[in-house]
Amino acid sequence: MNTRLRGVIYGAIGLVLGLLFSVLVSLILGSFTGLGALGFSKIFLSSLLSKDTWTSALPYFVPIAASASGLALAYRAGFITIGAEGQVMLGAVAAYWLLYYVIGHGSVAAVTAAILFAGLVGALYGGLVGGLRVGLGVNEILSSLMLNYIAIGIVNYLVAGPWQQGGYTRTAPLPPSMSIGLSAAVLIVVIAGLLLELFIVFTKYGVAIDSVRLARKAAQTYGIGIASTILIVALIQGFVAGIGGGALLLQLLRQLRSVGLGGWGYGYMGILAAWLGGLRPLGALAASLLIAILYSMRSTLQLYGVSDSFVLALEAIIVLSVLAFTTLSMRRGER
Amino acid sequence: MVNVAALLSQALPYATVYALAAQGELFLERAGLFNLGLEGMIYLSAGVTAIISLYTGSPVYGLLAGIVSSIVLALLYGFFVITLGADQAVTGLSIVFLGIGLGDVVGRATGGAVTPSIGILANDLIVVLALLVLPIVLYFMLFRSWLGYVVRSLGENVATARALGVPVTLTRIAALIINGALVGLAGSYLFFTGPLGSRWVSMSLLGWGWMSLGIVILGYWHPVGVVAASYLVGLLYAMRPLLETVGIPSSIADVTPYLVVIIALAVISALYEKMNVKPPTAIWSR
Repeated sequence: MNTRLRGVIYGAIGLVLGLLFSVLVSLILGSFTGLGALGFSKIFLSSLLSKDTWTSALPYFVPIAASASGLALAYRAGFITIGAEGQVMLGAVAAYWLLYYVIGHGSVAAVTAAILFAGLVGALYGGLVGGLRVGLGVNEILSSLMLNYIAIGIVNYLVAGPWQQGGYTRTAPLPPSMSIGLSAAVLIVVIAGLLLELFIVFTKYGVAIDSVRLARKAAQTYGIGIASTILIVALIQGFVAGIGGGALLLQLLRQLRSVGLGGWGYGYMGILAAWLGGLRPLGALAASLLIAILYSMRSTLQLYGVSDSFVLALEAIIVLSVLAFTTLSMRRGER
Repeated sequence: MVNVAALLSQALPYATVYALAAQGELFLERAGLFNLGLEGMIYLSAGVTAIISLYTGSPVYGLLAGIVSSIVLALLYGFFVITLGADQAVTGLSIVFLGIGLGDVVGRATGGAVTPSIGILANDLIVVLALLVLPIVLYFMLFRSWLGYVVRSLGENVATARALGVPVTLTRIAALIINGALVGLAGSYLFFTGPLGSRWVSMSLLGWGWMSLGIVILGYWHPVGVVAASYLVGLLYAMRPLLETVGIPSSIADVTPYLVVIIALAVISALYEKMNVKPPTAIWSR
């Protein structure tokens, strides 16, 4: 059997086993929630299968998938940035600024420009991380993390200062003309993911990116610029995450509000999705859908008195179970 | 007029949390593992400390339970990374989500009641331990003892270390327990003396673990550097109210620590290299 197909099959087996295992663990944990194991499993299942969960998951899918597919590319190059969170936020800020304060009216061209501008700002933020790494040797995990917090600060400053509207710390909502539909937002992100996948599989840059992580000496010998590859990857990753932020703003958020210490969290969920997706943009898209669904289940489960932090723990258990079983079965597949 | 002495001492509680967690992580990273899950471990430890202190009426039990919970998460990380061979970054990140989720569930069970807290003496002991004793012990252990060479060899070249007879798995499990214990102590201490003051408020103890990870890098994987970096960042936190009094918006004052850390690292990375302080090869190379 060809190795790539074998990898996919074993990965899929691991995925299914992992999901089943996580259901088991969730049931055990669920029996402590006061609903009992059976009550909890009923609610969990009905929430998972309800149409509302799926439709309300798609808006979250947009920023998570945009983060994940770009991060998959970055991690392939061994560039372990966690900056998608900040890029998503600044992408949203950029789109808001351009649409509301500069263009001032909604049209297809205006909305497109806003989303592209969001990508540009995301790319600059990503490029800053890459530039610091390449130019000054600053560890990208650290710098991207700090930049995430700085992005939170920027949003909090804007909504409580120059952009504040009314008594609350938030901006004015965008008028309905300055928006995109859910299907458009999803489509943008899926197309971006597809392009990244094609970029990796069909261009020489895919090989170059992998070689920077896997065989740095060989890469240098064959004239692949380590610094330029990392910089390009950082820019692309930031661009895609920024687009996700712009689409999120125009589709779901419509206005900016003050942010807590944890940020929005989409960028961090994107990291999980990137690894779960096997560091392939297409895989990352699928994993993002799974994570978005779990995330949207919080609101339905909350109706039954299951706290949202409990669902957060469940998300982690599901990711860990899937991780355990895919790792195990991939190892078996390699033998 | 700024009261410098007060400011310097206000920085201590922040610095203590960072120093404990960052030194725990430093030790683990020297042994060649890289646990991104600090954020979740601190959070879980704080939540467990809250509930156990409340129900037993003893902050000491709370503290110990917090430490144990954090060790459990560290060992869970070890099970995934060492036993299963799973990816370190994604495992660590899942630990973040798991710790925050579980920590909040148990913390909320206190219903926001004020729990008994540790006394001034215990508080001072922890500060001294974190900022004075631990860095000295870790320095001599890691850089001046036979044991340190064993630990550090795992962060440099595992294959060679294994060939030379270093018990890789055992050493790493020991490193994970130390990591869990120190990070757990940081979480408990944070609950007692941090912004909450022994009273659980959901989602208000976030960011400490992430910053600690950053401090390991800012301190360039050296115990003394890490403690110095912890104190620097602690000082920046303590200075935030001061910045607000001179007219800087609070949202901007809040981000100054992060801004300074980035700039500091960009400036001093080269300096560290000149001083021949090197990160573990397995963790970070330029």
